[in-house]
Amino acid sequence: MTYSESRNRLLLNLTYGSIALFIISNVLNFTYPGAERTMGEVQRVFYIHLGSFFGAFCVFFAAVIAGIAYLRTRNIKWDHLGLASVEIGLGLSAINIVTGAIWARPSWGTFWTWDPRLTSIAIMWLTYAAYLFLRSALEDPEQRRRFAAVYGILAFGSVLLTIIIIRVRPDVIHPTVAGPSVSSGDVMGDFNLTPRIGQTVLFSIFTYIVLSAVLVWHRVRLEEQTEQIRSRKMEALSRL
Amino acid sequence: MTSDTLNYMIMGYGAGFSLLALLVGSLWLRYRNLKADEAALEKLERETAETNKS
Repeated sequence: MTYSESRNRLLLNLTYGSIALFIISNVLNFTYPGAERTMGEVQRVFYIHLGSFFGAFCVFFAAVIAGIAYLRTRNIKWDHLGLASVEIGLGLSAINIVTGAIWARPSWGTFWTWDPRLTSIAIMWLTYAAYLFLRSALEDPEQRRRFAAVYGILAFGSVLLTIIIIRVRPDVIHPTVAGPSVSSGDVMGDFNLTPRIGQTVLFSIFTYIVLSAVLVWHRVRLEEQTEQIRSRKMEALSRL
Repeated sequence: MTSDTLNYMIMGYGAGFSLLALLVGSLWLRYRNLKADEAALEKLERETAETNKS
């Protein structure tokens, strides 16, 4: 698919917009809310920790939409969207896991513990990493796309598990930021969400959602152009 | 009492930004390689056309 001038311009403007949002969001993270009373400066990691999770959640959900749409239409563009979404989602969830581990060190005294939430997010990351490995192992393009579509839909179960687990397991040490939870209340690293922290978090989530959409679009465009070059190569080779 | 956790904050942002840079960098690198492939392909197509003409 050749990109029209208007689509290129839209993508470029969105890219500049997301860069601007990212800069503003990070300036806000350091200037708008003060340092949290008990946790100190490390609490500011929360803004990228949660933002990157929401970004990952949105693109993994996009992979579900892409999977359903591909199975219904067999249009290759949905396969590109599925692949792009999983790849960008993996990157964003890696940011979420690593920043969480660094935040955990001063809060829990360890970078990692096999708490239900941390275990579920590790499972989620590995599930999506396996998507890329398994996808590349299949040679037949149609079979690969069908497999990827079904896998992308089913893998979203691991995202839902990650969200639900802190609300249903009483033995988690990971704090629940919003919504009900059955945890015993002795979560470590919990803090009060003041209005300024709340507003900064919302802005950061919005920023990461826009950023993830722009990255997915760039990745889709890359995949489309790769596909185009591949078919041109085959054509050129057949003429030799 | 507020804990002194500035080092962990720096580490967290450093790691977060590095991973994001890696993600963007990998896209840029693949895009650059694709452009190089496209240029090589165009050259090959031109040469094939010229050979066919002569």
